[in-house]
Amino acid sequence: MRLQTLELIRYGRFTDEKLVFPPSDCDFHLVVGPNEAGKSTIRRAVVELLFGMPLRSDMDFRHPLAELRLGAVVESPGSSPSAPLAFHRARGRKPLRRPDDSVLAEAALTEHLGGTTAGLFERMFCLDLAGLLKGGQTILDASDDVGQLLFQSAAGLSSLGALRDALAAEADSLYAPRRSGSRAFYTALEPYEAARQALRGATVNTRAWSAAQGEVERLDAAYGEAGARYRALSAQRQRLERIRRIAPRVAQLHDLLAQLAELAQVPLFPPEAAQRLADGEVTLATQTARLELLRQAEQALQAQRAALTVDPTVLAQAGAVEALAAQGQACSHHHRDIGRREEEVQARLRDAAALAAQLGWPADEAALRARLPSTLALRALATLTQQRGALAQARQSAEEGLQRARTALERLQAQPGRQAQASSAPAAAGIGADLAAALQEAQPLKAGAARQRALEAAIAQAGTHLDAALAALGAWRREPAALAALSLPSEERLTVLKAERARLMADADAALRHLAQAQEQARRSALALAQFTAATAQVVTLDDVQQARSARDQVWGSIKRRPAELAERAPELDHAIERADALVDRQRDQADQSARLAGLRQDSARDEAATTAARQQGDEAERRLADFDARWAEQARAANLPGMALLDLSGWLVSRRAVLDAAAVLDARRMEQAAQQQAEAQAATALKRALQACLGEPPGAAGTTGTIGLAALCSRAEQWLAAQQAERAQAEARAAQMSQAQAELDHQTQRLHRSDAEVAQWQARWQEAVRTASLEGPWMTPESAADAVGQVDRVRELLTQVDELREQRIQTMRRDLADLEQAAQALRLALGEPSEAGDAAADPFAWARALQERLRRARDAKKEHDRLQAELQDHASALRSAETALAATHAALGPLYALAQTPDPARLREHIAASDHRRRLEAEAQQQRQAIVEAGDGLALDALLTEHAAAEPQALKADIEALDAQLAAEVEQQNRLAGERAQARAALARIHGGSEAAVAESKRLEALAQLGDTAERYLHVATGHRLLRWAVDRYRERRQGPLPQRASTLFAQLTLGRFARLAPDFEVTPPRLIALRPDGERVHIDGLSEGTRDQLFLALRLAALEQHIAGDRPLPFIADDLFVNFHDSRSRAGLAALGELARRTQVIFLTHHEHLVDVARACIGRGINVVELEPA
Amino acid sequence: MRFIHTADIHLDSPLHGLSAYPDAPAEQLRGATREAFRQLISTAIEERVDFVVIAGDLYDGDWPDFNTGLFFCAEMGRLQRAGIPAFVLFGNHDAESQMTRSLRLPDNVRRFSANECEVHTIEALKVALHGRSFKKRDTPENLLASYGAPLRCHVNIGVLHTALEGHVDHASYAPCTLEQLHAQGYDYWALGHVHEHQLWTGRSTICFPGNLQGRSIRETGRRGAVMVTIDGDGPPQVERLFVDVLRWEHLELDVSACENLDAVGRATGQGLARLLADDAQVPRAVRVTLRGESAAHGELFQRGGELRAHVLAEIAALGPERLWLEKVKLATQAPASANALDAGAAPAQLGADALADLQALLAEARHDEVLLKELRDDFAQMLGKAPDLANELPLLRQVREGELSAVFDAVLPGLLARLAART
Repeated sequence: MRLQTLELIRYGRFTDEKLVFPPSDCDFHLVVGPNEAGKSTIRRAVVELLFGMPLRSDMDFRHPLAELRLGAVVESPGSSPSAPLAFHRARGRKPLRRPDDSVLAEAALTEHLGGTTAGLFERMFCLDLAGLLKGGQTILDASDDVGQLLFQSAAGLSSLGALRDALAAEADSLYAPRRSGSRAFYTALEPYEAARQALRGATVNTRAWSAAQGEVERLDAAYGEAGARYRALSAQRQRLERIRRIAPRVAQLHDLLAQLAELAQVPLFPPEAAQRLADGEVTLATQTARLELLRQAEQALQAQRAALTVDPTVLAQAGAVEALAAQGQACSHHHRDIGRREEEVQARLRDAAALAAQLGWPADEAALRARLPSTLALRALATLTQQRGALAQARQSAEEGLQRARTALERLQAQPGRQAQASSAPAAAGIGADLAAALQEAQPLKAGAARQRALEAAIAQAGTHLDAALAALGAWRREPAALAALSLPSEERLTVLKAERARLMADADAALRHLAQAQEQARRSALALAQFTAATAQVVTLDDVQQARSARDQVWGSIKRRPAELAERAPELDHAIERADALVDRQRDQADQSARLAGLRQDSARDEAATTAARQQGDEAERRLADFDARWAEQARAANLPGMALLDLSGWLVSRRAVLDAAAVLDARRMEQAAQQQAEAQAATALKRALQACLGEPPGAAGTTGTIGLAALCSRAEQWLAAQQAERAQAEARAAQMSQAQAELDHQTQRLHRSDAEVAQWQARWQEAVRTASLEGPWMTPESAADAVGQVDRVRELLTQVDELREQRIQTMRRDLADLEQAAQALRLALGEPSEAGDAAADPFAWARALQERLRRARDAKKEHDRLQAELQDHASALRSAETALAATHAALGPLYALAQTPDPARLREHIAASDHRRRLEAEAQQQRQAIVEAGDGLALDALLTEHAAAEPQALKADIEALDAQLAAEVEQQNRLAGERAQARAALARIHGGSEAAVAESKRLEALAQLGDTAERYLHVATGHRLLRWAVDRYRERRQGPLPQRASTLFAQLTLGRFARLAPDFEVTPPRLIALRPDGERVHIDGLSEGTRDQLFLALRLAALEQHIAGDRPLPFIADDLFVNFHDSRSRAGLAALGELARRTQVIFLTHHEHLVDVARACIGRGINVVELEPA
Repeated sequence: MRFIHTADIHLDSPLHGLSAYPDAPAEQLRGATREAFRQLISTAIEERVDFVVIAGDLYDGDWPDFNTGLFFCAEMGRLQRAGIPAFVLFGNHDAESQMTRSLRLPDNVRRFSANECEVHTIEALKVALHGRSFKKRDTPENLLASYGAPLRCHVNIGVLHTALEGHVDHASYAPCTLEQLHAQGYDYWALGHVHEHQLWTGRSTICFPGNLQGRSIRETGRRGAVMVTIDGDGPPQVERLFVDVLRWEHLELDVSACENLDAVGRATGQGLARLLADDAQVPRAVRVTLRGESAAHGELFQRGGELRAHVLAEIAALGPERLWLEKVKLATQAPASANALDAGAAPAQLGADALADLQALLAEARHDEVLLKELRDDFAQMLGKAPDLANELPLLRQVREGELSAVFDAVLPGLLARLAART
């Protein structure tokens, strides 16, 4: 498949761009454009055109994503389908369209692409500089393995080596036969083995548990038996010991019982009877003596009480007496204080009289109080004094202001030139407006000269373009008008014609190839026939066989006739038979060869016929092509383009379009120039007229000769207008200052008048205030007013102090003294002692003190009386208690005397002693019984006495010693059993239902799971690694023939013969690729320069591509600026290699180096197609 | 009347397929079967049930540690102190175990004889339990034939360890049919042996409670026993009791939208988070299987080791105490657009591309005896270092027997996809 055209309808920066790739023997197309012209876009466009656009694209910066569109005409010469396919690639569900936008089935394009996928196309048919450099690098990385190197280069796959290495490294990190802590397998193996060991240690099987349990049970039983034996022996020893223990007490008991029998008739008194009797007798004596003492004390107290006297009257008035004493104490200094306050009043009145005399007022208190002015009058006087200063200051300020305003006005009036008004101002304004209008019209045109120059340059350039475009028309050069009038075929018709010619050429080519193949086949057939004929010259014929048979028969006939000669002629007969048989055999063998010979002859004839037919077809195809060309030549002549080649017409039409465009541009520029000149002349006339009106004379009169330029006129008009404007502004400013100064003078005059009126008003108010304050006099001036007011205030203050002393101090004390007198009088009446004149009671203070003393004495007497009364009551109570106690003591001793049946205390004491003796004996007997039971191990007294009575006291000691020995042996046996039993129980207790074994088993399985994961991963990784290695080895074995051979040739060509060839080095495993210099020097890949490695990669890629094309459908090879890093000679070699490739498939070479055009033409041929891209 | 029916406890049976990486909740979950049983007994005591029925397979048959039996005794002791009787029937695993014969069980535990069908009654509840233990592990005959008629005026409960009419995952011991069970005329059949919970109602209520605690990825979902309530003349009411302490889950993820390993890791993290949306407090053992046609197929193949680390990092973020990763399985494929490079595609479709050559070569590799021997020898040496290892995984078992085609099937597509990715 090849591209006839590529249309970038809406794609990237392109709009309706069409690239044409006409076919030729060397299908090489050089697309040249500066950087950013869109070369890489073209490579992308080809891939997306053929295999579809991606969902997202960065090619939508000019046209919306949905409207991106590509188009092409593709053809597949020499294979089906034979017809070219014109189609568009759009976005959306049905992206493949015909040029009329009807939907086209994907199959139509697939037929041209064969089975090639996008990935394969990009890997195999696209190569850019980055890919080349990366390829060079991967060659270095894979230099140790020729298989991998070939594979990567041929496939355009760079990841194989990295993947294989990664897999190998991971496999090694997982497992290797040698144990290592860093390998995951062994990391997991360790806990696995540890868990297995732990499991063995922790597992308790059923038999072990049964054995431990049985041992515990056996020892429990043995221990129990030993215990029973010990207990029996111990009981026996205890009985003997008991009998020995109670024997002495049993003897004492029997003795006591005998004594008690003798005292059986003695009556029993209570145990405390003797004590009770003694205590009772002592108590009776004590109580009698106390009773007597109490009676005597009572009489003495009663005598003391009768001797006391009490004053009830004064006790009844005790509260009033104490209140009067307190009141007297409070008023004791009042008489002295009243005298002192009266003196203070007189002193203040004297001070006031002295101050009044200074003011000319009377000294008498009543008259002074009447003359004292009011506070309001004094405050009015003070206020006026304060206002006086402010009024004087305001008047002075007004006078100064008036003077300043007057001076300013005079200065302004004295300034010169204020009368120099623009007397003709209104007229000047009218003229100025005309001038300004003319200036505004002229200003845009004043740069006319520069514009004229630019237009002239543009016209010159357009002329040059037109000449160049005309030159490009070559032999068919015509004037633009004639060119425009030409009748030419349309673009569509031209495309159809070109397609038809291309098809005819393809047919002719195909026919020629077919003829060549047929001829080759015929040649081979003829050769095969000749060789076969030569090899089988000795063919056995039927005649030969028949001759041999007749010779045999003749010999046999003669022998039959003469049997005697049989022995003699037998060898002859044998020979004849043998020869005939051999010939028959050979003839039979040669039957196959004959058949083959006939076949070869038929093949040869058939191939000859085919050659003839192919030749006819070729002739026919060439004739049709010649006819077509003749027809076209006729059409070209008719179109006034004799000799124009069909394929050149498109290019010529482009040049014609360029001529027409250049002519149009030239006309436009010339019209523009004329219009500019006319406008400038009109503006100069108007401006000149307006200036003359302003200046009163023609503008050119001021020294210049000839016409003045438009720029100079503009400048002069601008100057005149600016001067006019400055003058007007100055006059307006001065008038404004004058009116401002006049206004200020008027204002200051009014202010001075106002100040004078205010001062007169103040004088009147001052006189009135002095009179109201009664302070008239020659000394009374505004300056002395403050002192006079101060003296008046002092007089007022002294009189106020006199009033306070009289009311608050002197009168209060006099009221207190009267109250005291009244209280003393009332108390006297209450005590029944009315006052009399001259009585001591006239001094209430002394009377109150005497009365207080009388009250104190009355209170003391009353207290003593109360104390004696209480003591008497206590004595009476104590007497009654002593009498009751005596009677009780007599009653308590009564029952003892009754039991003894005697009133005699001595007899009673004897009876009581006998009773106490009997009781002691009984207690001792009971004590012995108790002791026997306590020592009797819980047995009853009777049982013990019986057991004692039955025992042999003499044998006891020996029996006990024998039992002790037996018991000691039993204890030892028991201790031993207890130790054994504890051990057995501990062993059993260790089997307690714990989960140690289960946990160990869990750990074992966890480790096993980890081992399993590691092992599984290892299987995958190790298999992957080995598979890749194996496959690359096989690839090398199978592909090391043709591919390196072709690459070797290309490499020599690309390196300009500095290297002769490539060869595998089989001395190492895996074999390596080496480069050989012409002198036989071997260079390993890593010894090649970077650039040479790039060339090696290119050689391998091109070789692989050629191999691919040989076996599959060719597609265009897109090379994107491959030789940027190559110097010219190497670029030339590279281009030559690509030129060679272009004879097998279409090559589209994109570059931004224009000089490569010449290089390519030089080393590939002049006929290569060059497509130039406009800069972006 | 309320009782708990449980079976297939498999005490101390370990969890299969879980490896203990540093964050894994291994410590807390190693005794999962014990903890589940302990919880069941606690529930019985708290709920004050009338009795407990264990329908076989207390132990793993080949598990030798007597401590397991003692643990069972201790738990029965707790029931005894709470005054709750237990009725124990021995199944195939118990028949195989040495412990069954030697262990002395507390008085509250009553066993069913292996010689004939034995009937235990509780007169206070008017309940009769019929059952017959396995005498030996392989018991192919129908034991139901020896079960007697229901007792009159009693609630009749049949206890039987049976595969019923056959079950793919379980040996076909003591077979019988549902019709036969219904025909026996009992009120309730407490069955054991099948590890999945199943319930049939009808003339009798028939129930497999399922095993108490899942132990491998083949036993996913919640596990436990059942609480059975029988009141008056109505049919028995069966309610599930979940006591498992670890739930097994299989997370199958479609990663066709993922472009690379990182994206696959993130998608897995989101899948795991969704898994925890329900019953977040129950720890999970998770197998992650990645499916779908993914652009990351080749990268996943090459960086399979890192993939597990990615998933573990996601687990660490979600809460390592709640998730225990069992395995990440790769079942992805190369995208359809890259199918031309798939091992299965015809080489002709690829043109004469070197990659197609490689594919054709790799197809040949399966039959290269030298390569196969090299691989077999290497793998055999590795498997020899851990004798139990090959029993763990089907793939390893096949490799031990010299069968490598499964390995090739697993490796080739990934390898080609990785090469074609050009990254």
